[in-house]
Amino acid sequence: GNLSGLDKSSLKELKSRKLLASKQDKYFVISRGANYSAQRKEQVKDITLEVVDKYMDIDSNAWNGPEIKKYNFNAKGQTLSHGALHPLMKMRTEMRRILLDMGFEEMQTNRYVESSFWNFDALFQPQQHPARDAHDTFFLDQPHSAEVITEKYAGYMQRVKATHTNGGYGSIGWRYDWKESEAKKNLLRTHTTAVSSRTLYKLAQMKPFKPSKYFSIDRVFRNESIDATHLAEFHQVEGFIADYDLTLGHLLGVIAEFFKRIGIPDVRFKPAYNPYTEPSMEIFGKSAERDEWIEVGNSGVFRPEMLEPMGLPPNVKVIAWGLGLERPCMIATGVKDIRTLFGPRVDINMVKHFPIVRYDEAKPVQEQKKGFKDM
Amino acid sequence: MPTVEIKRKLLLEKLDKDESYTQKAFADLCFDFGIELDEVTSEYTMILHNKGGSLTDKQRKNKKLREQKIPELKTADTEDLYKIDVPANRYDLLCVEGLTRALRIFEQKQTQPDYKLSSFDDEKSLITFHVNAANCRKVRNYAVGAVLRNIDLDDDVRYDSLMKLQEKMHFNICRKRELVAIGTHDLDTIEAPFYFDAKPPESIRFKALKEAKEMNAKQLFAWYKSKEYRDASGNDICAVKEYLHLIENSEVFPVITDAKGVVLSLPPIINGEHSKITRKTKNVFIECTALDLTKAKIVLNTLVTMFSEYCADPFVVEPVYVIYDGTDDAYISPDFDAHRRLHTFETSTAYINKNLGTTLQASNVSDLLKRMGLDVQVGPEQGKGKDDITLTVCAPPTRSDILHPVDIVEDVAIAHGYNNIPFRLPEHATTASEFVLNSISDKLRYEMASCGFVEVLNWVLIAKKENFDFMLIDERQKVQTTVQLNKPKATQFEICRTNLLPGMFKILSVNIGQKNVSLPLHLFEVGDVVFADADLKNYECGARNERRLAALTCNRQQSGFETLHGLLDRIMEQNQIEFLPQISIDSQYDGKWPSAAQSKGKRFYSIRESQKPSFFPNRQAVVLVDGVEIGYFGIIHPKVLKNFGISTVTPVIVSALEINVECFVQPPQSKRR
Repeated sequence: GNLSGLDKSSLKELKSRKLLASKQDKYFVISRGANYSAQRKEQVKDITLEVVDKYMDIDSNAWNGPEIKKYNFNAKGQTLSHGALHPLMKMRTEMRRILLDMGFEEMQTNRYVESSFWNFDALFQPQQHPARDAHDTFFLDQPHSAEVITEKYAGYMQRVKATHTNGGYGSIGWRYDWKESEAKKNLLRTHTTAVSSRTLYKLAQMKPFKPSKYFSIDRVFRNESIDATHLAEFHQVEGFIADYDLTLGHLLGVIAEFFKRIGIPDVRFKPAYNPYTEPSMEIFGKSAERDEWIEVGNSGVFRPEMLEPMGLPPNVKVIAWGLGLERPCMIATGVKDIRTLFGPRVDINMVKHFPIVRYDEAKPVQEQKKGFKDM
Repeated sequence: MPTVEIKRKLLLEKLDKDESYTQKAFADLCFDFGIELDEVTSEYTMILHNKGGSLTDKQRKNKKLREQKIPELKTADTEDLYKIDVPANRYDLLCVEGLTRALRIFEQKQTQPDYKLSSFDDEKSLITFHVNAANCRKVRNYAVGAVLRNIDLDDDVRYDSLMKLQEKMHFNICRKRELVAIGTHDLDTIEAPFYFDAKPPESIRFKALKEAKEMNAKQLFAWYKSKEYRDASGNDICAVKEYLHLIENSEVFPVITDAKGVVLSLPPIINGEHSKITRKTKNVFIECTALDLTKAKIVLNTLVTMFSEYCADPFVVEPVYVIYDGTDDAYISPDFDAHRRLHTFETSTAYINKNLGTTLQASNVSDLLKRMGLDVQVGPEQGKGKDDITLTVCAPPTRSDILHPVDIVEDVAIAHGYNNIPFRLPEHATTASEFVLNSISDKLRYEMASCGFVEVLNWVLIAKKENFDFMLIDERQKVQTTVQLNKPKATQFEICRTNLLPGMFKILSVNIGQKNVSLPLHLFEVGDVVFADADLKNYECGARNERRLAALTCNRQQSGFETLHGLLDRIMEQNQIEFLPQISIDSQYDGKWPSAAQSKGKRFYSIRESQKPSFFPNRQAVVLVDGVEIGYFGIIHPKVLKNFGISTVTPVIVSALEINVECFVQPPQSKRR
C-alpha cells in the first residue's frame, strides 16, 4: 500500500515492531539524447601517425575523416613512472645552497666514529657531564678507543687537560680529575660540533689567522629508544663564523639572516645552557600557521676555554648555531611518525609525491606575471 | 633538562603577584630569564595520566566513576601546577625556594641574601667530622658537612621541597649518587663528633631507613635484592636497587657514625632510621660523601643556601670542621669565603660591550648583574678612560656556574635582554666552497633520479643478523672490520652498516604489498657505510666512512639485471670512465690493467663474473675502476629475499647494484691540469 501518508515517528514505530521493513531499489530511465543515432558512429580516439596520414591533408589543413572524439579534460592524465629525490635530502640541498650563498665553506663530515676527545673534551665538556653517559651516547666495543691521539695531539691535549682541571685563559676550570683514558674512548659522534672542533683546531694552526665561515649538514647519533618522534640517528645543520671581535649581536644577525632565508622571518632568542658556548641561546621562530613561537635551533659563542687551548688568538671569537633537519621536514611533509620519513619504514609513495622544496615563499614576489602570454 | 614543579598559588605568593597575573606573563618572564614554563598540569591530571591507562571512555568522562577506579584522585589537588624547565648548570634553581628567590631578584623585588657562616672562635669549637682517609680512599674519599640550626620545616612545602632537591641533585649533578651522596639527619638524635669510615659490610650493623629490623650491610644488600622485597601486587619497591652496584664489589663499605657508634648512613645507598629527619626536626646535620670534591661542595652550598632561609637566623649556616685523620688535611665546611674568592672576576665595561656589541655604562651593567644575583664593585677607570671601567664581580655561594668573565657577559646579556641587542652581520667577506665528495654524491643522486630511480634514506645503525646473516655473508670473517656498539638501548642496533643493500631490502619488505605501491620499483640510496680500519695513520679512531651508491629494481616479470647493467654504464659514462671489456684487457694488454702510459689519461671500468653468496649464481659480477674492485651487481639470491621477508608477501625478483663512489672524486683527465 501507499505509506507516504505516514509520518516519521509512525514509520519508526512500525519498523521497531518489525511490522515494516525498508528496501531500496535502483532503476534507470533510458531515453533518446541530443546525439542519438541509430547507426554506430566511428570516432577517432587518438591521433596517430596512421590517422594523420589517412585523414588529413597537412598543406590545406583539411580533415577528411570521422569526428575526433572529445578529450576528457575533467580527468587527470596518466601516471608517469618517474624517479624522485627524498624530501629530507631535498631540504638538505636547499639549506646547503643557502649556506653556500652566505659564503660558508662545507666541512668534511664523513667520519661517524669519533673520539670522546673531539666530541666532548675539546669542547670543554667535562668528563662527568650527563651527556657523556652511555645512556645517551653510543660508545663502541670496536674500535674501542683512539690510542694514537695522545701522541698525535700531545701538546694540545695537555692544554685541554689543564683547562678542565685547573682552568687558565681567565677561567677557573671544572676542577676535577681529568682522565686521558676517558678522552680516548671512541663513540658515534653525538653532534656535528665534533667536526667543528676539529676544523677550528686546524684553523688555529694556520698562521696568520684567516676569518672563516664553515657549515655542515650530516648525521649524528644518540643512544635513544626509537619512537614516533625519536630516532637514534638524525641530521644536524651547523654553521660557525670565526673572526676578530665578533659580538653576540653578530650571532643574532647571522641567525636572523639564515632563518629569513629558510622561510622563518621572525626569530627571538631565549637564554639557554650549553657547556661549550657562553652566551648560549635557543632560537625561537614564529610559526605562521599556528601563530606561536616554536624552538627552531640552538646557538652560542664558543667558550674561550675551548678556543684558546687550540691556539686561536684571544680576540678571535667564534659564533655558532645549529638545528635539526628532521623536524622542519616532518612539519613540511605532514609526517606524524618520523620512522615513515627516515629509515626502513619509509613510505615510498610519500617520497614520490613530495613537492619541490622552496624557501622563497617568505620573500616578496617580484614582477610575477599573472596568466600566460599567448603564442 | 631538570624540571621544577610549583603550584600556582604558591608561585603567586612567592613572587608577590595577585590573581590577575596571567600564565602568559609568567611564561614571558621565564623566557627572558632563560627558564621555560614547559607544562601546566595538576596533581589530579598527573595521577590520571599515569594511572588512567586502563580506564574505559565512560570512566574517563565520568568523575565519580574514574574516582572509584582510582581512589587517589579523590584527594588529589586540582590546582594548576606549573612545570618549569631549568638549565642543567643552575642547581640553585632546582627547588621552589631558589627559583622564586632568583626571579624576585631578577624582578628587583629583593636583593641576593648575604649568605653567612655563624661566628665561631676557632675550628676546634665546631662540630668535627672525621674522615678515616686511609680506609675511605678505597671506596669513597671525600666528605663535607654543615648544620642548619633552629630550622622550621613544619609546613606543607618546606620539608617536601628539601627532599625533592636532594632527589634532583642525586639524579643530575651527583650522577645517580656515584659522584656525591647526600644525607640529612636530625642532629638532636645523634651526638658529635661524627666519623666517616669504610668498613667490611658484615661489621656495619644498623636499622636502615624504612626497615623493620637491624641488619648488617651484607644482609641488607641481600634483602634489597631478594624477591621478597615487593609490595602486595609483586612490584619491585626497592628504591635504592640502582645504587647497589656503586659499592657492591668493594671490600669495605662507606659508613658514617656518631660519637656513640650510631650509624647515620651507609652512603651512597641509604640513611639510618635512627637519625631521620621529619617536619618537626629542629636542627639538621647535612653530610655529603663524594668521589668529586668540587661537586660535593656545590651540592652542599646549594642545600644550605636554599634551606637556611627557614632557620631562626635566616641565611646563616653553622659550619663543621672536616678532618682527614692520618693526614694534614682539614677544612671548614661549607666555606663561603673560599667560594667567593674563587668566583671573583675582574672584568670591565669595555670587555662586556665588546663581547655583546652594546654600549652599556658601568652603572647600567652593575644594575643588570645585581638582577642576576651577582655582587659587583664598580671602578676604577681602566686605560681607555670612562668607557672602560673595572668591574669586580663575585658570584655568591648559590652560583657555581660562573667560571670565566664570559659567564658574566652572559648574565649581563640576559638581564639586558638578548632581544634588545642590535643585530649585525660580520663584515669580512669569505668565499664559499663545497666538500667535493658531497657535491659528487649530489650530482649522482640527480642522475639516479633522472634514470627513474626513487631515493630512500636508511639508518647507519643495523642488526648484525640483517647486515650479514640475511645477506648470506659469514659474519665471523667480518668481525675485524665491523664497528660494534656498546650497550645500545634499542636492541635492533648492534653495528654500523657495512652495506647499503640490507637497509633497502628492509624498505622493500615494508612497502611491497602496500596499496599504491606498484611494481616495478626502482630505488636508490647514496650514503655512508662504516668500517673498522687498523690504518691508524689515516684513521686515528680506527674507523672510516665509505660513500656508497646502491640501486635496485624489483619486479615480477623480468629480473631487471640488464637494467642495472645499463645503469652502471650510465653512471660510468657520466663520470667519463670508459668501458674496457675483459676481452680487450686480455687481447690488447696481455691480461693486465693498462698502465698510465697505455691509458693516456683515460680511466676505464671493467666487469668480471663473481661468486658472492648474496647473489644468484652466474648472474652477478664485480665492477673494477682503475683495476680496483669498487662494487658489484647481480640478481639477488631468492634466499636473501626470503630472509628479509620480501618474497613471502608477493613473489618478486630483485636485481641490485652497490658501488663505492669515492673513485669518482678524482676528476677526469681531460679536466686536470
